[in-house]
Amino acid sequence: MAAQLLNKNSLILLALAALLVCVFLKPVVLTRPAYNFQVTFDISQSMKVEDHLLDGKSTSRLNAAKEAALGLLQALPCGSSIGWSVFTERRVVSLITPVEVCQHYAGLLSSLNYIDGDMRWANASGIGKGLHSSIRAAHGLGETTKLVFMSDGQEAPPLRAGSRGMPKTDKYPVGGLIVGVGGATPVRIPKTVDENGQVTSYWKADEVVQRSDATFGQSQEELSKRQDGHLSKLGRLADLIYLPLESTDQLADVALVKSLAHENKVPVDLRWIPASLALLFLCFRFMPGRLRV
Amino acid sequence: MPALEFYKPLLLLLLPLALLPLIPNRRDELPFPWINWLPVDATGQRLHWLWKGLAALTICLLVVAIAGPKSSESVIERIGRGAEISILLDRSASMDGEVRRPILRDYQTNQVQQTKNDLAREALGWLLQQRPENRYALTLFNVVPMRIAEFTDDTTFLQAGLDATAIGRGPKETNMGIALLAAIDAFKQRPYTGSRALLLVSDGGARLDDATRKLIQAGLQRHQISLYFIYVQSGINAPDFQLVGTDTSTHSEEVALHVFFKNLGSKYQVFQADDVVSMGEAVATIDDQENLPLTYYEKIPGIDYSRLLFIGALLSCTALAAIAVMRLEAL
Repeated sequence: MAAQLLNKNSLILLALAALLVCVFLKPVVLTRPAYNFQVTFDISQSMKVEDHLLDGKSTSRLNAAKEAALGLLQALPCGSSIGWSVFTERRVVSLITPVEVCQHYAGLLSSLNYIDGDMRWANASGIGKGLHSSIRAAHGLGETTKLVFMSDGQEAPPLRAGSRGMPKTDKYPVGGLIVGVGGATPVRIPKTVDENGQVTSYWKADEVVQRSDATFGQSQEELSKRQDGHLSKLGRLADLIYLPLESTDQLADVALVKSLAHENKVPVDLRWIPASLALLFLCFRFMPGRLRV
Repeated sequence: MPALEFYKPLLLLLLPLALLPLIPNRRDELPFPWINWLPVDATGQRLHWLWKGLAALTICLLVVAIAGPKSSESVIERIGRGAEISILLDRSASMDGEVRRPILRDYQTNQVQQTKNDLAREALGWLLQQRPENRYALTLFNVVPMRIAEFTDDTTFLQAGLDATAIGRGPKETNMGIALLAAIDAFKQRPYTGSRALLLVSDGGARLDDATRKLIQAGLQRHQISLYFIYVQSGINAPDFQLVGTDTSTHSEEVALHVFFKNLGSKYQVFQADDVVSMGEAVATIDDQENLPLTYYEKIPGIDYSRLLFIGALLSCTALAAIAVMRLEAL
């Protein structure tokens, strides 16, 4: 009898064994990469310049930054966290400390939508100081927290030649990225907007602080473009990757790397493995048209 | 009624595999020259079909189980007690200052001082914990209002918003008028489902212009919002609202704001807090008062059915193996 069972029906026995394993298998704790980002948005006036090409249409720099952040939020695996901060003048105001992305997706999405130029409490833009405060804040949020700092790099008032505009950050080792938004051609910066968001006036040359070390006409601080040189220099100083943003998905691609991840222990359901084996055995057993063994 | 969902519905395409056992299979044939000689084996026939049926059933159960069936997450409307509270929290630099220090007696030692923001965070956090079924909106303000959360019952998220106010220092100036309007705005286009409150936590006041006053008054009345003002006292010279009448020609901004609120005609209450205890009492009182029936929604998580199906597959496979033992497999 035993021989008979083993002879033709060994596959059924194997399936039975696999099913036994399947029923009693508890979720296995595995380590999976997870990410923890605090994203700082530059909301100074130059971020309202609509010179960022996004899918063929030009949009404001802030919008481009928010779209990229949305892409990152959607790409993060469950168990990862993300939070938002805004920056203008020389200050960073944190809006949300990092929360888990899957459970709190709705809240994260709506708070991201609220981020806008309306939140701007002052009109100046000390990028270096803002970056420094962001780094300090991210450092205070725990060692797994990495920084994403989104800006066009337009310092207002301008820095003196040779000045980096950023206090030392050696004490706060925080990894992460600086994301540059905006176009390469200098354009006018909106000064006032009406209730419908339409720009009613732009900053004029004699209304902004010009560089003191430039001759007349050389300094054009009323115009703004993405300052790749300045941002990448800040990146080198603060040990952050500099990413000039060209497409919306790019941020998620560059940010989800091993060096910015930490290991997260998650229970994983592996019952599909013995279950698939059992299915396979049964299918082989009942496969028609096979020659008799 | 929750619907049935699958984690990986595409795997259901494997279901036709269950037909495999029903196709005549040469492996189960026995070589016999002339079966008409044999008597009809009715039991054997039935057993054979049972065997095929069980095999098909096992495969069927397995495929469905691997596809991950679960009942969809559903939301149940419940009537509880609570309120919709729009929290308006001062996020200006002054809130990072220390609370009013009590005058120390000779025998008292200097205690660790808390900032006004610490106090506010702690008390509001307590409220979130006590009343997770309330719905809260969170708006910070300095010169500008910053909406952090529209009305939600996700208290973890709201707590993260409160936690964030502890980081760094806020901007210096405040503009109470547009902040109040923004907090009132949180109720816009929401169906009236229970009592509504605006909870202002600040260490300052404001002298509002006429236009703003009118808008605030209209907003509070239109949306039937009661107003609570927790005034976190800054210094020994902070005014005491109990001693203030309805005189509007006052010099202090705090008193001006308090008098304006008092004359609004909406339900209004002020609390003066300068330590954990008074802050806690203020929040507890508000919690007590905003306790009318409230429609709230409870999420019922989906039930995973795969374990049941695996057990079913195991039983049916065991029966299959049992029949396999009984069958005449060879001559």
